[in-house]
Amino acid sequence: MPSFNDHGRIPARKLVLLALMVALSMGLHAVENMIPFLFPMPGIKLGLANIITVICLYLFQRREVLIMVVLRVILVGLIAGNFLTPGFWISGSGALISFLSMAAACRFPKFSSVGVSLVGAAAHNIGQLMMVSLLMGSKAVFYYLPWLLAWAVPMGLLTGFSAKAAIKALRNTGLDDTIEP
Amino acid sequence: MSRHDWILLAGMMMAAALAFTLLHWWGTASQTEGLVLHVAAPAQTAAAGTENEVLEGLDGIRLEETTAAALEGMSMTRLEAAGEERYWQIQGAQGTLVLHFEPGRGIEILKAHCPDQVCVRTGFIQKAGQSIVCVPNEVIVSLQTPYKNTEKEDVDAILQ
Repeated sequence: MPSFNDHGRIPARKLVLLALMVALSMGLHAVENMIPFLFPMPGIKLGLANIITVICLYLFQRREVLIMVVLRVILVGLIAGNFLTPGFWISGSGALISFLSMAAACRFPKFSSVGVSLVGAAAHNIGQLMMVSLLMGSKAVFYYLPWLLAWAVPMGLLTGFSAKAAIKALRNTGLDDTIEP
Repeated sequence: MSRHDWILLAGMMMAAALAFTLLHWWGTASQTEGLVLHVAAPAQTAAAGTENEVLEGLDGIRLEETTAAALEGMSMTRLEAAGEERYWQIQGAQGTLVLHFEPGRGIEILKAHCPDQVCVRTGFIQKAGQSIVCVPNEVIVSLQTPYKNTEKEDVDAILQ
């Protein structure tokens, strides 16, 4: 649950910001889906929605980010039309596992947002593969893991540096002062 | 990027490299497991008078005269386990072909009576799905995974 203020309500400002972030991540997800075959193999994506998750991990509380991630996965599933299909479960498990590991990595202040994002990219791929092997009932898909791991590095760097720049800009606007309830 | 980020980055690269190495290492070994040979050749016997120039230079090896039907479905695992080289002579549409099995390397068409010798130059095949095709002789040699109906669901691919 989002944290409440003294009146037992979510501050309107925070609510708006959270909603904005969900909308942003959905937008990025949609943009990403429009980029066709940028990479030589299926399953490799830019992971642009991860940028928002990383930003939010630094600006909001963890449980709020979790709600955002779940909302994003469900809403994107509904919009893309693959709600409750294998594709939905695959991207959902990737997003959840990626969130969990990033939330864990976030607790170590020695990692910057780039490191957190790297962890997230790798975990996203591993989570997806786990779900695929569960759905297909075979472990053969893990032959794919080396390629996905190798690609997670540039993708993680990309999202990491984007998130870093965004966090810095957002902090400069004094936004994070207004977030605390 | 902080110092720990670099360590993480290096760690991930190494993990990927390690995974590639492992895959290369026992990925190929397990790919030959359970494979069966698939040989397709025309039903009729060889055209007359085109024999035997392919058999030159094969002195001293044990050539087994056989048919595509007899080779069909032969287990690569068993051939590997036997550990000996095998030479088979089969009939194609244009003449004789010699198939060669070598443990650890797979199957090749060693000699063939055909003008372009594409099948011979294909070399060895060892992994599932690889094939050697000789168009003039109407012969296809390929390695396939045996059909198993043990999977719960019949999923070909999941597209996102």
